[in-house]
Amino acid sequence: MLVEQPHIGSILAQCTASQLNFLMVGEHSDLDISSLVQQANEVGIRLAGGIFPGILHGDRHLEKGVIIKPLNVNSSFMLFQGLTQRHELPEIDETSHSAIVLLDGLTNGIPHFLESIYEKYGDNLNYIGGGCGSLSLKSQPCIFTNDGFFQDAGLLIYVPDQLKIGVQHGWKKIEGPFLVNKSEGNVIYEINWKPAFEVYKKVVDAHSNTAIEQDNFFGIAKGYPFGIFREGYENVVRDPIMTLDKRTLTCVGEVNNNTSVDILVGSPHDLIASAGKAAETAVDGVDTMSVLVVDCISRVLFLEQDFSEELEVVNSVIKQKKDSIELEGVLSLGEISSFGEGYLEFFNKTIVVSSFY
Amino acid sequence: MEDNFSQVALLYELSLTNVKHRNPEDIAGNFIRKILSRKALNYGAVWLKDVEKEGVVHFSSLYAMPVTWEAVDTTQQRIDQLFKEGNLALTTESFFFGKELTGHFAYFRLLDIGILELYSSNDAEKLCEDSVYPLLDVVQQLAATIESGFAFKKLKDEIGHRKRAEKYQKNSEEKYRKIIDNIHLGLMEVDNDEKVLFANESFLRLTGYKLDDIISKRASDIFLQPDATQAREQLKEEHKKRLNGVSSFYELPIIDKEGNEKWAMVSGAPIKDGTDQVVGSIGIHLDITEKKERELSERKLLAKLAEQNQKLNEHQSYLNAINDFATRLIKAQGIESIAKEITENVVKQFRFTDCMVYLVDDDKKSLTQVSSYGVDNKKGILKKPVSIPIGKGIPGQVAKTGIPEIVNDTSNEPRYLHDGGGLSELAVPIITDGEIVGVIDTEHSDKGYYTDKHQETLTTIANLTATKIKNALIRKRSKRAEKALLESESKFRSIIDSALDAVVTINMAGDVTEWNPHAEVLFGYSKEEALGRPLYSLIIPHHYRKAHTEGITRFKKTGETRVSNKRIEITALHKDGNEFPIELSIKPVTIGGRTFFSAFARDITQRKQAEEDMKMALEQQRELNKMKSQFVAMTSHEFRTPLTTIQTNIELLAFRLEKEELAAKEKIEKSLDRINSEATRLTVLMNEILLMGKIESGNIPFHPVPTNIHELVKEVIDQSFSNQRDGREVAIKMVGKERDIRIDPNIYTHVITNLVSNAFKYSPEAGNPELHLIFHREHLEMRIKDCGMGIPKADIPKLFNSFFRAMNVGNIQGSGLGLAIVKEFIDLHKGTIDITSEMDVGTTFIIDQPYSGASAN
Repeated sequence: MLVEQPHIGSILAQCTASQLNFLMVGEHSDLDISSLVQQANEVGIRLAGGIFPGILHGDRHLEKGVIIKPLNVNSSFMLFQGLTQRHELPEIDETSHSAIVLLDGLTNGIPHFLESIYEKYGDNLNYIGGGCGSLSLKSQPCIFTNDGFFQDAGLLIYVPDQLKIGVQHGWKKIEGPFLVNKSEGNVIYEINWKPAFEVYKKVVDAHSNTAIEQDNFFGIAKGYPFGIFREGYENVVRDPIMTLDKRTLTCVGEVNNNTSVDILVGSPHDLIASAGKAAETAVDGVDTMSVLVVDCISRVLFLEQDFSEELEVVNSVIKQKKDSIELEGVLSLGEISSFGEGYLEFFNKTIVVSSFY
Repeated sequence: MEDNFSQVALLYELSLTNVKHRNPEDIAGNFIRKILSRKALNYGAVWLKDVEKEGVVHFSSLYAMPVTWEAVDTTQQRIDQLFKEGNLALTTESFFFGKELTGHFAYFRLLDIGILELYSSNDAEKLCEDSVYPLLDVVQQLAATIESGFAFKKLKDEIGHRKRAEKYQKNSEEKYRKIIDNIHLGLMEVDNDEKVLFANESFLRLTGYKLDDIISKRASDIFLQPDATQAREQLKEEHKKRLNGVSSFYELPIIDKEGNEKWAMVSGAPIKDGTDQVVGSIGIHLDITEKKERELSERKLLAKLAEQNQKLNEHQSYLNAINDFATRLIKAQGIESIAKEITENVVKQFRFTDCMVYLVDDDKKSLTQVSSYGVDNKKGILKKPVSIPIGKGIPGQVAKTGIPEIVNDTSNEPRYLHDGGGLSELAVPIITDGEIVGVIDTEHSDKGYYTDKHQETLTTIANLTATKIKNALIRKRSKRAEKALLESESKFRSIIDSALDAVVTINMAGDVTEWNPHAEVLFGYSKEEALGRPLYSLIIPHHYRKAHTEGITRFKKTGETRVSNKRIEITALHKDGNEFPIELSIKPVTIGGRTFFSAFARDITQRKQAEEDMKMALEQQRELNKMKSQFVAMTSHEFRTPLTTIQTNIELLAFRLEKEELAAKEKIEKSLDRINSEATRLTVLMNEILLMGKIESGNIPFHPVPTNIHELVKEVIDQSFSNQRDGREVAIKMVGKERDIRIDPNIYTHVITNLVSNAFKYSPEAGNPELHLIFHREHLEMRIKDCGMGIPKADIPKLFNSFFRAMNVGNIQGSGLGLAIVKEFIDLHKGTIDITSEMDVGTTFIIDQPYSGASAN
């Protein structure tokens, strides 16, 4: 349920008292989350959610508004603060089949946190999730539960529902593989033993016929992400967002040392087609009850006006499946999934469509 | 091509996965995560072969994603079967769990250390041979890396362990060394031959040695006294214990480098090597020198405390006794009562044999006993109070000097007054306001009984009682004085009234206030006529009235008179107008603050006359004496001359007779002897009469000089008594330290000669007379003793009278003047002479002559 003009009263009025209410909040909603939490506690409403650069509803993407998704009554959640630390994950029983994973998209330790989740649960859970936060890339509290409003945190919402997930991004390789021989966290220092920016620039400049520099980096680089090879699947995309010194490249998400990467390029057509494909994968073969879409904000930035077409494609697929189902989702800073099964990854520039069944 | 590139890139990526890791778990984890991510697999694990036992191989999970089982068991046979075709096996069911888990499995043998397991749930292509075979080398590399990781870890662990062990050992050693060097206990290590191997700082400080001084030297040679046999034996025994592996504690006297003796408590323990053999011993030494000294001090202190405690108890008893005495003393009031308390208390509380209290008489010349108590006189009856002259006996001496005395053996004390009391005596003075008022005297039946403590006790009692005695005496004297005063007043009154002298008293105005009966008779005025009238108007002649008035005026101004306290001869006026001579004595008296003049007057008319008569008589007497002296001189001269002539002729005759015949000669010799004897007697008599006359007239030359009395005695004896007809001699005895005595040798020669002569004369056919010279502290006592007839007791007091002779002298010749002259001569020297005698036993003359004698005349 979308609350376009959110205020605490209207939000709480839409919440279901007996269920865990999953809230997706557009960052420009101008909502006092702390008061929301306090008042929710006062009235006994269970809630968990995050602040995102935008929310998705039907074929619209909004910067302001709150989507309230009541989850199965047996749903539960677990908050983890400080993702670089080792956390003891709770045991799950047979009632939990899936997990919605939200985390502070601008914090450190995301791969470590996701590894620990997969180590613990493996394929016993289906995963969908994304990075919360602000498009300004300013680190601030973005995850909330009945326990409070947090930053640098991760939230696991255990749901008994099964999830069918479609993960696609549509970016294609133009060059590679390159070896990231020196990196640290989300900063790439060297590619093929040369300054990372230099190597990247060479490829991008050649392909874009534009000289990518520090000052115009984001505008051009948004069309040329890195892709980390994944056998049988699309690459895992890593989005370079800046160069601080014209030697290094800062990405959204970590790139491990000695990782081979490709340089990818995308077209609106490919991206939109991939979104449709993801939606089809998600609803195929299951009795979808609801849908949750986690779409990367950078796809919006890349597609710009064409982004609505992406939403239309996804929405039409869903509607074809079941007309009553409304597309709901978020525009995130990074996406979390396992490509349906297997190793849990943190994606960039990807759309993840999940079907709750 | 793209896939090949990607494949190669993946292989390259995988091969570089563990470049930076050495931990086997990290190595395995990184590899598995990478391969799962790149190949989108569901599961990967590295199993390590732990134990192989009886064909069963135990595998433990080094890393698994997701985490599954920690360990699994299988058989070597199965393993061999799995890898029968090489180091890679692809299966569709789990090697470890069989059909429980199905899917697509790839197993890689990791050298000899374990197995890599990969799993894909539904995509066979992911783990097909084409897909995984290229991974073989990379996986082997993984195995090698893991193995080297373990080796490195083991090495690191070993190095770490060794470093830790070394560090621990070093720390332990440092700690041990610090402990050893900093503990205040001395530590010394010796080998089995007792030679020093090590000593810590504390031990070196204790013994004063440097380590080099004692290393390799035998401990007993250095630290024990050479003659400390017991200590050496002890150390030997302890060393034996150590050799037998026994530890022990012991205390040992040791010496330091300076040879100072110290005490150490030693805890000795054997040192054993790795084979449990004793290789030496170690001793921890604690300096207990101070403790030992303290123990000794404590023992001494305890002994002293016990002694002090005993003294305290004694003192307490003493204090209780004193307190008890003081309490009873409060009730005692009179002298006798106080004295009784003293004597009873002294005997009962302090267990003396007896006790007496003497008080100094009012004349201060003697002590009189006021109380006595003792074991033989438990009722304290004083039958006959003893009186002792001050200075005599022990109590008398104490009363004289004011200094307490203890006599430890009265049998050897000449001053002791034998009263059958004891063998030791203690006397202390009772002194109040600096005046000796009495003496407390006590005796005991044991010699040397009294101690300073007893003296102190008795002195305390004396001090306690002094004031009380003084007050009692004052009260007694006061009562006596009061009584005396009353008596005196009454007496005075009766004296005045009955006085033969006229007693007249006038006041400062010159008016009569007293007029006794004799004044009435003397001056003719009745009392009533005289009282209140100016004296001058009654009895003072006109020519004396001015002087009288002026005298009173002068006294008023100056307090002085010219005539008071004198006897003056003056004239007075009778009522009938006659002026007659009186002897007057005037005395100013103050009664109740008012001054009077009392005059004593007597009629001296007759006396004047008598004086005239006396004057004449004296004149006559003078004449007579002169005549007597002349007569004596003349008589003696007149007697002596013919006596001398008689004697001379007798001698002449005797000379002539030598030639006559024997029979006639004998007769004539006899007659001549008689004549000679009588003549000699007359001569002696004359000489004595003459001497007596000189003495009476005060004409004896007296020149005392320091004289050696012993020499003088010997000289006199030699000259006059050396050849007695009966062969007797004078036995001279000396007692005490000889010293010179100030006497006139000539006069003392006479004294000695007279007394020795009498000794011989009045002891015919008896033993040798004795002359004793006893040199006392202040005086010489000369005793001339004979064993003769003795002197009747009734005659002894008259023996020094002139011409007196005892009634038992019989025919023994004598003038009766000798002893009188001796007495005069002794008096001249300020000495005394005394006689003790017993009939038919003998007589002793005792002369006490002060060494200072008298000054010359």
